[in-house]
Amino acid sequence: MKKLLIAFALLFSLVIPGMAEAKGFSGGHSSFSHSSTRTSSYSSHSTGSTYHSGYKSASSNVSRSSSYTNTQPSKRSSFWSHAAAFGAGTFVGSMFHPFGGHYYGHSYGFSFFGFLVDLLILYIIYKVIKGIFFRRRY
Amino acid sequence: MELLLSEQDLIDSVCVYAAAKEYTNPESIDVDLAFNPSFGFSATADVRGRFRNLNEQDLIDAVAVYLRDYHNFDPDRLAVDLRYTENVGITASVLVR
Repeated sequence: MKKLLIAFALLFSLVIPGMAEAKGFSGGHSSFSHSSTRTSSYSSHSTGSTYHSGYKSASSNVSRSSSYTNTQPSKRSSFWSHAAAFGAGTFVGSMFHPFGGHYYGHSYGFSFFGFLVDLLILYIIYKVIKGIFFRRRY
Repeated sequence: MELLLSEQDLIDSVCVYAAAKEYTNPESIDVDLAFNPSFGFSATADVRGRFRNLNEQDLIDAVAVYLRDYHNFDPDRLAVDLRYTENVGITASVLVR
């Protein structure tokens, strides 16, 4: 029973976000041209005269506000933005790994140059965050 | 000001009107306009196999909705006259007051 529950939880965690994303990125046509098939049928009468329904106003069901909203399709996030975010996360994550520096089982120990690079990157991150949150207001 | 709508304009109007009612897009709707001297104008909208019948007032509302949504007209200022001529078909004249 417990295994079944875990399997269901796993299935939901894998499937539901995918479904939500598919719905979100469904987009839509920004412009459309009516290509509906046109089939007009008339009753057979050959009077040759024109029939008028008379000028009539729209019923009160038609409100003044537009029901049609030409929503822009949501901006599709590209693969590369995800790849860049993933790469940046991996890189920054590896910097703070306490047992980092392993490569095929070999540990390279402490590297002074690597430490300087880490400090430089941390400084750049600090400057970027400071630039975002403490922007000077004119 | 008087606007003259062709039969295709009327079909577009019904597509837009039925799409708003059925919560779908206008491209997925097929429209059959009809005129009978006894019963007047009517239309049938085929929304993916589901049929929706529109009477004369619905057609007028459809024109008003179409002109409101796509051409920014005020529906309260519109008066629609549906017309049927044998060689032209069903058209509409819209008075903008």
